[in-house]
Amino acid sequence: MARVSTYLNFARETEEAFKFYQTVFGGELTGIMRFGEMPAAPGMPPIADADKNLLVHISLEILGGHVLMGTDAPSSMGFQLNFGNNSHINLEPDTRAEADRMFAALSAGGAVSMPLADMFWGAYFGSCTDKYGVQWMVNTMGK
Amino acid sequence: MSVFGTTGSVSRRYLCPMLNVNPYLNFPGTTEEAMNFYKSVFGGEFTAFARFSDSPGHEKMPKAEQNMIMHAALPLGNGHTLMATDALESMGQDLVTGNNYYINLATESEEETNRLFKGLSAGGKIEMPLNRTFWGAYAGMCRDRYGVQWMLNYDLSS
Repeated sequence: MARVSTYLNFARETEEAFKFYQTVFGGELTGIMRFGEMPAAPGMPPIADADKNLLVHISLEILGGHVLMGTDAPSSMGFQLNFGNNSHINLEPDTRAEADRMFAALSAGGAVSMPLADMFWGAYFGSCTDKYGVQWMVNTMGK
Repeated sequence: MSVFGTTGSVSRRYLCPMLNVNPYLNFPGTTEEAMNFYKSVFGGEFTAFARFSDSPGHEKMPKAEQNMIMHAALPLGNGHTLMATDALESMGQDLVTGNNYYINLATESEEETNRLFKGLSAGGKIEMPLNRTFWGAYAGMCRDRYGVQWMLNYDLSS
């Protein structure tokens, strides 16, 4: 396997969400493609004007070389998006200070499920859901 | 921290502070079965496989939950690890399996892509069969039998 990355779907908020993730992790938003720029495929219905600015693809390198990718999945195109709680993105920053910073930033406007605290497995750990419905875990063994 | 490692090297790997990002999945008591399924697809060995019975305070948990998986880790290659835990009803962890999250695998050959796609989609649902896409990849999407969604993407220019 060359690489494993995380691919998120949002109804229409992918661009806004990725700009938010950029404020947390820094880095550059790359690979941006909008539905209006997509080559027409045989049998594919035309894209409605209101959907042309939505994102087919965007990516952001978040931490340790891991790439977060996203796409809009609007109901106007027949997508039925359903936000589950069965998947987390597990971040392992180097230090507690980084863990505190990331956790505060990601949970702002969202919900903290477990505040950062020392755990019996030796880590400083917490979990939260961000304001776009994505679940994160922060786990550091660093000082 | 023996609970996170079955061998010394694994414990050191887990304890070693390093930047990393991994998918962490929750299952409703089927973590052991699901992770063994992923092991059958990806190969390799678990680098962690701990039950709740390995954790402090487990004697207060319902018996059935003590045997569930607290933490399992399977290397996927190139430093990536798939991690999972069982969600506990006694802790009020109501699991909702969503469709907003995919694990995206960048594969290294058509053969590897075919093999992994066939393995992951067996008993699940193919959302987009493997095909040559307009972005220059051999790609497909599926939802496996445990509700986890995968994208496979082999860059044909690589």
